[in-house]
Amino acid sequence: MFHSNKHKYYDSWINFPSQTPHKKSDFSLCELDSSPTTNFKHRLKFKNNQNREIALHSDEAFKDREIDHQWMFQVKDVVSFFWTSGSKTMTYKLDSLGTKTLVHYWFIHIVYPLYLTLEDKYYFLHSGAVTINNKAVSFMTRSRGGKSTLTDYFLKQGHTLLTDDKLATYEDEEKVYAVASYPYHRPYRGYETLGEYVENFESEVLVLGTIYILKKEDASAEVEIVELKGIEKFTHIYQNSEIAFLLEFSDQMNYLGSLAKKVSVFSISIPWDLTRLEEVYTKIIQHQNTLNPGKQNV
Amino acid sequence: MYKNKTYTISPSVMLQHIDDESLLMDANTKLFYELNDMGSVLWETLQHHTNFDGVVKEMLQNYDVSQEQLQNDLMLFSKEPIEKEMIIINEEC
Repeated sequence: MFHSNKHKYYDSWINFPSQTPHKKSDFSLCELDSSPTTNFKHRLKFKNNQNREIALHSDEAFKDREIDHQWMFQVKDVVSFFWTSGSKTMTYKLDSLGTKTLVHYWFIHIVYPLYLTLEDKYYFLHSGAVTINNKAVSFMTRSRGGKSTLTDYFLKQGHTLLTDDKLATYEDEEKVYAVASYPYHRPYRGYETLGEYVENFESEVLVLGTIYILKKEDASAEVEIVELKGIEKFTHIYQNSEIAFLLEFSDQMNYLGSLAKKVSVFSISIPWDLTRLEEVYTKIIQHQNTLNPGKQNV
Repeated sequence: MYKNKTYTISPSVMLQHIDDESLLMDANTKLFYELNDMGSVLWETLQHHTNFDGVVKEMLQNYDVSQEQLQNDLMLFSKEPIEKEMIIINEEC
């Protein structure tokens, strides 16, 4: 009775929990090199991207981003891009193997998203995304998990494209918004492929309504959609953060935590059988119609 | 064991609440730790103080538990984060 206004005490937490069984973010993609071969003092080398040697150079430490910070993104023997923080101008210098097509590829798919991230304009997710019921719907998976194939199928059914790989997002107090990135789609990826031009490209900023995490299953598996919550939801989103490793960890975690609270995330079992894509498509549309009653379309 | 000692929560560690779950994130190791309800309360209480006595005092005000059990549980809970330098015991001057 003396303690009647106190909470019940649980002793089940006394052992510090072991780490969640998730895969570490792939920080092995990059190494920081403090002995640059250019006038820039800092260099971040990327591992074997598209069979090219690529590196991001800067005159200041990467985390100390301020106005007038000088940047160079170099694709060895192909092209170098130069810009200054706070500026909307970017210049490029072709190298011996550089072509117009390669410049387009590297700028559209890699450098421009990188620039927008470093300028704190958008947070990019590794995701395909299309429009369903006037909302952005994101498809996430690891490489070769069916994201491009599913995005391609939705485009063929008349949905508009936001992206086939890098989804630009930002948030306000209530919602997360998705911005269409580039009007190119690459259903079958080769190295340095710009992709097929997509006429049906989303021109509006949309609310990011749903994220589907694609789970590759046997050809005979049922198409099952299960809502993810809590840590499982968060770790899937975290594992699909595209360029965010360049940002302060606290900024990444704050943004992703906020996104996880505002956006519904579901896992969807994908039977590994192209003849069943229609079934997967139908299931997603029915699911979206359930989530958005009264706003149903194709 | 850490009576009268002060500590600092490492600035590399963040606590996030996602739906009904709590997640500790360590920027140094890029590892996540799932906390249950009491673990989350305890970590937030640790964040409010700089010495373990203060944590015990606040927890005793809010929870129906003996001081001895709470002190033992706190030490057990803190052992691994101290080893992993998520909680840093300050050296005495």
